Amino acid sequence: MTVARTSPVLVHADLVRAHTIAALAALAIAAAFGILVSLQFLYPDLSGGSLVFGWGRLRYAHTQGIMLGWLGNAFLAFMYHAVPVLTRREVTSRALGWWLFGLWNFVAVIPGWILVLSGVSQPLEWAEFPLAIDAFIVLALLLAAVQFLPGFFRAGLDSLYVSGWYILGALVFTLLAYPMGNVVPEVTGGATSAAFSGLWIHDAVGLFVTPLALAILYYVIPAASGRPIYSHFLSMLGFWGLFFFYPLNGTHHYVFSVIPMAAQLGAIAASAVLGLIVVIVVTNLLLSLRGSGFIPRDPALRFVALSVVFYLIVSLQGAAQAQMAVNQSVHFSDWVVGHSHLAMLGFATFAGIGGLVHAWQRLPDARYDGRAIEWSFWLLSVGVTVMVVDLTIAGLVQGGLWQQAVPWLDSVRASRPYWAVRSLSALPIVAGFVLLGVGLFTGRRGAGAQAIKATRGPGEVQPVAPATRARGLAMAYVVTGVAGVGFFALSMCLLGWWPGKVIATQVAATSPPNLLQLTPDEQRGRLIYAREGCAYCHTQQVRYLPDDIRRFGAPTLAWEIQFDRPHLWGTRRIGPDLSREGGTRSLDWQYAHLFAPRSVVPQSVMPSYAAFFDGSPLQPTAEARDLVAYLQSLGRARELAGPEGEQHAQGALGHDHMAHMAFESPVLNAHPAAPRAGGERPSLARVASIGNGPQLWRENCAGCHGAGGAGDGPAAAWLTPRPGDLTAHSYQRDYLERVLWEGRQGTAMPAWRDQPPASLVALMAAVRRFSVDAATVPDGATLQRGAVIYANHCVQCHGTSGRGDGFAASSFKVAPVDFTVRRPTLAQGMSAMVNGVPGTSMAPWGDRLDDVQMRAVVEYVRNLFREAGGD
Amino acid sequence: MIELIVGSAILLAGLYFAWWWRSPQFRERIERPKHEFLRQAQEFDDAGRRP
Repeated sequence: MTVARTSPVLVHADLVRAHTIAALAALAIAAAFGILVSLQFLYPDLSGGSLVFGWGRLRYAHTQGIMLGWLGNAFLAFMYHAVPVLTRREVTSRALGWWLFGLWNFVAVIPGWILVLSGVSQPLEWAEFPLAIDAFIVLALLLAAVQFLPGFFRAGLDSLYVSGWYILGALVFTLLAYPMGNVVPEVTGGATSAAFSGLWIHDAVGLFVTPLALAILYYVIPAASGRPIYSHFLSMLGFWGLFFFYPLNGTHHYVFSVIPMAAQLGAIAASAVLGLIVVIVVTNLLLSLRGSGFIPRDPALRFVALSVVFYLIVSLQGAAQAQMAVNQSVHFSDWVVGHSHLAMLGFATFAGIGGLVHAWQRLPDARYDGRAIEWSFWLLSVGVTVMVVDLTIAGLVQGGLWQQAVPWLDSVRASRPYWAVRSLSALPIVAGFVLLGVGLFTGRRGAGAQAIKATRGPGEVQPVAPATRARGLAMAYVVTGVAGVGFFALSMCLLGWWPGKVIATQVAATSPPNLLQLTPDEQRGRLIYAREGCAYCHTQQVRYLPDDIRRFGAPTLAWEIQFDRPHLWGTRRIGPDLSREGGTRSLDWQYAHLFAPRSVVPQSVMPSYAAFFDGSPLQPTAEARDLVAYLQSLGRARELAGPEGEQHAQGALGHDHMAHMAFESPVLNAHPAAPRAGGERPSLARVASIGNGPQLWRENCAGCHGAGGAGDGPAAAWLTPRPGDLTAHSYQRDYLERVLWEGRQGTAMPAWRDQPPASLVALMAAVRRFSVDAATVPDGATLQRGAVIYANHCVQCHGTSGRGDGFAASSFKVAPVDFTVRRPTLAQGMSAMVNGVPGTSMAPWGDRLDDVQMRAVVEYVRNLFREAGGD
Repeated sequence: MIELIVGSAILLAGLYFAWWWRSPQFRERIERPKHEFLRQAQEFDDAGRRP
């Protein structure tokens, strides 16, 4: 017999037990996913190149598992205990309960994980399970409404306790918001898709997780302390305030974006008001805890008391980080990751545990070990605090570095110690979860009931007068129904539909005619990008902020991304923004980077996607080719629109000052690595080296050029043309400055415009130290012979004076060598003559010239080198 | 002038609300669920502890 009548009302103990077990199992799995995700920041190759356990898929599975698997089951377990007590009625049906249990866990959560790990997902925050799973979740939510709501309506709303209101609100609002957040971003495009997605990001937490967590807090505090809550009026004020303002917050996830500024400002203002309402809610809850002691004796009460504190902090933090002054520096950083962990692992998880423990203590014959749960509380408190403080500081450090003119990788390097602490904080957290399981599944049977007796407060129940049915409250069903749907509809209109209309008008007015859409292979690449969670590390939105413009280029216009269904804006920047990645790197660099990221970027924390290759970057599969084709398409539409397109869009945008920031960037793509020919560059003549050239070399250059500069780094064999052998050349200083500033077009050599001048000087010194070349003095006859051969065979490309400016030069992908600034050793020159230079237009000459002739021409071009000077 | 009228109206509404909130009738009605809930929760616990 699994159903027990333990009180005047019937609680289905078997369903409480089943959902508790499912919640803890899901917690273990989802936490394991999260730990693997965090460890991959420290050990990027941890997954061994496996796509199934790659960073992106695990990240999808982690957040969905925490929200639906852990918290969803914990809330259901709590509701099976609380709803009968609140309504004094049994839930609708025990059989329905088991159907709901099966549907939630075996049709939604577990298949959702399997599908996401297999690569079937959607790249939307808090909506990563695919649409097929979403359909079952909506069905499960419907069943939950049928299971839990009728009791409330039969009991009447005029004397409904606040926990009941929250349960009602959560079930109704989630039913409305879930399909909106999961389906609408798929069918609308670009910025409109992002606007709806932003709504759901907040609704998932604000309309599903928060109300059910608050239902637990309002329930457990009086039930465990034996004192009524401080004020039911304040609790209702908070309830209606939260349900009105929570849905109006959504756009604050995309501040400084192309979404209409009025919607952004409205969401920012609503965020501030929400913070004030939370202060009312928390004040009421803290006053309700008076008399329970600073550290309540009852473990469930202890968990919910700390949950209240976490709720206050996370809400004030949320209200603050929505404000533009804060948002511009912390958005996309680990601050936000800390914030979401404080919400889900701090506030909601502590509330969920409090609810579970409270219900578990009251299960007949359940095992219970209070000491283990007390230890669980302390370990989890320490773990969550360390993690959140650590990530918050990390976010401030990252945001600060992004606002400075320093290389992107500096922020990655600076994050490592914080990422290590974050991973270490998993130790007390995991130990806390294990002890929670020990506390609930070991110990003496029935010990929970004894614990209640030992810890319960005074239990001074005031006499309650018979309910007087108020005239106004008789209309409560209508009022709540209209208000509930109305609040949601208002948020949909103000932050979804209306911005969508404005965006559509803007797109129609600013979009260039005959817009080139993605080709089929690029479209397939986009799906791979979405599937692997690339958008969760690389944003695709250059914000309307000077820092973003300086680092990435022109802010994203709505028309550029109109075909993105769903949007791929992203919420975190671990790697740089990729909005204008097309043409920034060479194809072979992209392949090498996907196959073995640290071969070309030694400091990178990107996971390897070797699974897209047949053993080598030289053998990309169709998936690698599609993905790289997609990457190369990013930013192309705006490039192709050209100055005419920019003028057209600028004219159509009228006097919108914010929108005109989209044209303030001097170059469309400001990526510091994008090769650039000509243009101004700063003079490094008077800059002193900071003397860390060898370290800079290891961190930035050794992957391609090798530790000793011989062009034999780990990635060298995969790049065509091969990285230069710096030991075999002498370089003019001005030439090195130019190459470092502009990169080398047609090769994998990027520009290094993000490096401070002193670092560039240090790198130049390191390069020049590698050279084993020495000047030689050939005899006049050799030079003369060489000059004749050069004039006959080489001037077309290398020019009459050897400056690489022959008449054919401009047609080559890789510019011919300028011998006045770069002198090969004799051996290097002979090698180039005999073998040619693969990947360039330099052909082998061994079949047309004999050794003496080749040596003469090499001596001749070596003699063109000028140690100093330049243009 | 309009500001004065609106301001006075808001002030009066606030005072009325404060009086209403402090009035025993309102408090009894609005605060009733918290006492009712506590009684239900304790009834449940007591029933669970019966031999």
